[in-house]
Amino acid sequence: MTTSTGTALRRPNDPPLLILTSLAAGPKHGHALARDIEAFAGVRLGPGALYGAITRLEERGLIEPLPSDDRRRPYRITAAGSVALAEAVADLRRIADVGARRLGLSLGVTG
Amino acid sequence: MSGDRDGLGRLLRWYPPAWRDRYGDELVALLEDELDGTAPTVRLRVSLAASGIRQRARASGLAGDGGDPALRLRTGALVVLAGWAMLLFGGASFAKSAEHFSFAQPAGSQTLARGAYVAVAALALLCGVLVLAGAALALPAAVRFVRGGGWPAVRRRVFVAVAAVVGAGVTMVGLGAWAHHLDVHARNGGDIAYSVAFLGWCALVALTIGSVVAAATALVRRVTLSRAVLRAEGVLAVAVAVLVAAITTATGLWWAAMARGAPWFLAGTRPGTAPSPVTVQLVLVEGCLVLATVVAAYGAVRVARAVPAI
Repeated sequence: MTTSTGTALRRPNDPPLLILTSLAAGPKHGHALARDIEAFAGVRLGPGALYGAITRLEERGLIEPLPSDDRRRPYRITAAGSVALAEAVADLRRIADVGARRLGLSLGVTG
Repeated sequence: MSGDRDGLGRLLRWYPPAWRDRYGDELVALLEDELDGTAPTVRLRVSLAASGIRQRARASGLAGDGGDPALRLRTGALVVLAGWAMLLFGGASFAKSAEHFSFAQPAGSQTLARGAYVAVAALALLCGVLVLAGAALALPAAVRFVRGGGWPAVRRRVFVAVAAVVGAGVTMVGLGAWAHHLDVHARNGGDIAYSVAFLGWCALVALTIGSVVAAATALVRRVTLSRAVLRAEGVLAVAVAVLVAAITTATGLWWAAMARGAPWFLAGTRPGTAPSPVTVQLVLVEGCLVLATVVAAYGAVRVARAVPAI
């Protein structure tokens, strides 16, 4: 599952995928990101894992920092990041659809 | 609060300085928010240490696919060089273990062992030639670097490497002269003083190999190499890694052939007996060679993944 931007987002609980998903709702700094991810995914990212993923995402141009006078610098998703997230979500959706079909489940469309 | 910040900042000492300059304040702010005045747990400390080491590995080109492909290629090639250095050490021990093996087996049953031994020697020679070719390719850039004022940055490591090489060489000559006056039994563990001296020399050789690799690493990381030279170094590194794997395989074949035809030779017992061919010495030697193969293979994979982006 390699996106057109060359970023592998392999699992639903990959820190980069969780961060992109969180930032898709708007810019956030580290602490707000961690809280949001815990709220929507139930995954508690440690500070080291969070900033490791932020470093990789920024290097690949998928997120960017916003100007800030505070040490708590916010980040936002870039256009390339939105494309990567859309591709990853589509991949996950395909797998979820197959799983649901084989189990005879009906997936409601949300959001 | 400033004291807390300093204390939390110290938790980031595992991260590379450039990373700390860029993200350090943000991460400390996050830690302040997360901890809310409580002391950092052991788990958090370990997690930050592991993350910092991962960042250092990424910054040096040792891990991750981001960053400068030239740096990843150089680092991959240096990892292959480290694997080759380990092979040298394990190979020297293998040569010592295999000394006079051809007299141990009845004529006509030595084909595989002889073939494997010749293959080890030939492949090791070819491997050495490729490593020297890689050094020769980088030499003009290294000379330019030194003439351009870079000598102080690598001087200490080069002096240590040269001193270690001279020390190991002089010690080897002395040990050889001593061995010349001993019989086979004394040379193979019968003379305790000689055995201790031999082990000391082995440790010195290991230190020498390590110091030479460290000096080469210090130099190669600083010199400017053209794309063509980088690509050529990459090809040589992959070839060396393949040879390291082939040599390890050949030593394993030799061991298997000797275990079947002359286990007494491996165990050091009387001819005709049937002891276990699995000796501590050979397990250590083969373990060292397998480790060298794994290290070289990792470096070769790093190189192969970086070459297309060069």
